Amino acid sequence: MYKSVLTGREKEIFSLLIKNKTTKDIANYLNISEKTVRNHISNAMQKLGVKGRASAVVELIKLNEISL
Amino acid sequence: MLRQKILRKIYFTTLIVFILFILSSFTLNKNISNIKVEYQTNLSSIYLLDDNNYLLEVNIVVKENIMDSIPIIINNLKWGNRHYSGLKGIIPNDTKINNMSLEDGILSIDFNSELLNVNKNLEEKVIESIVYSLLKFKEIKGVKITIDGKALLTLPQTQISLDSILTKDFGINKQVDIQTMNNIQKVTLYYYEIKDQNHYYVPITKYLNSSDDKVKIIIDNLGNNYLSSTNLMSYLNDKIKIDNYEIKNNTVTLSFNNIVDLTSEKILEEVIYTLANSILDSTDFQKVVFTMDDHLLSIKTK
Repeated sequence: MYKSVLTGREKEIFSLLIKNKTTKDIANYLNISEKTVRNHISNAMQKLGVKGRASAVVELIKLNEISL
Repeated sequence: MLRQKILRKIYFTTLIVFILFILSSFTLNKNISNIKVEYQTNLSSIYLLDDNNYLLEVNIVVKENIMDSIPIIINNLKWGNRHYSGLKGIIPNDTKINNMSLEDGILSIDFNSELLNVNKNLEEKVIESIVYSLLKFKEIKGVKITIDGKALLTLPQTQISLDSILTKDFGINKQVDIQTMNNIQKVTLYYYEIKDQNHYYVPITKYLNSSDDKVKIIIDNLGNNYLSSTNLMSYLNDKIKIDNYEIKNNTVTLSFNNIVDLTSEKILEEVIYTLANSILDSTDFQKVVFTMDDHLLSIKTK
């Protein structure tokens, strides 16, 4: 279930993930470490109450938090 | 002798009556043909809910002036209004428009708080229904919804985010069918549903994984005849197919196979409507051209 709104950074990372960017691409693009990217993804999934990135994207689309 | 006289009289009288009848019918026809029909109907489409919670397209009569038509649209979307085939409006009856204005193609519309006094599962559909119904007017490019003067940026029950200016990008009758993170695409496909022998268009915004371009996704999905696990059907089918398509200068040209029966104009009109709307709603292309055997059938623009 949806517990709280994602931070801007978390949304930004998922917006890049759905554009077929890898964790490494995103880390380079945002000038942060790959571990930080993974942490953001993990935090977002926890907030959304889902397991797996694809499920997180489904929830974010349903909540209109990311646009295609 | 007397009998002959009587018969002659009857003959002449009948002849005169006949001549008078012919003359009078000419005059009458002339009068009828001189009557000009001044009555003009302005139609627009609204989106009403069916039993399966799909929003279906229904035509209603509106006014010539757009600002006079908007209250009619909103009124028809209220759930107290029953329409043909058991279709119903989706917004609460006590919803009121406090204010509205149209500037640079953006319709700002302020409602009272009753607008969102709906079941949680219908909250998003209220917005879809209003946005898609209002965007039927060419003059409206986007809709800005406020509640008692405050911008509506999150739906209170579902926590769904809303853009400050809503367009068809928001989607309608959404179906998320994503298996992986790769190649996620969004298209709006126009299907139809039969209720009480009437055909209603049903747009479905579908999220899916595909590496194809959107035009191909639309042709392939609509070519499947129906939408699985629903009672929605497509006008594209085994007989009516798209042979090929070309994208050039912001225009999509679709070529039908030559099985299409040109005498069956009604079917052709529906196929063209669903394909053109699916492409124009899902992409930035401005024009869709339909051909068959190099003959131009129809052109639809955004």
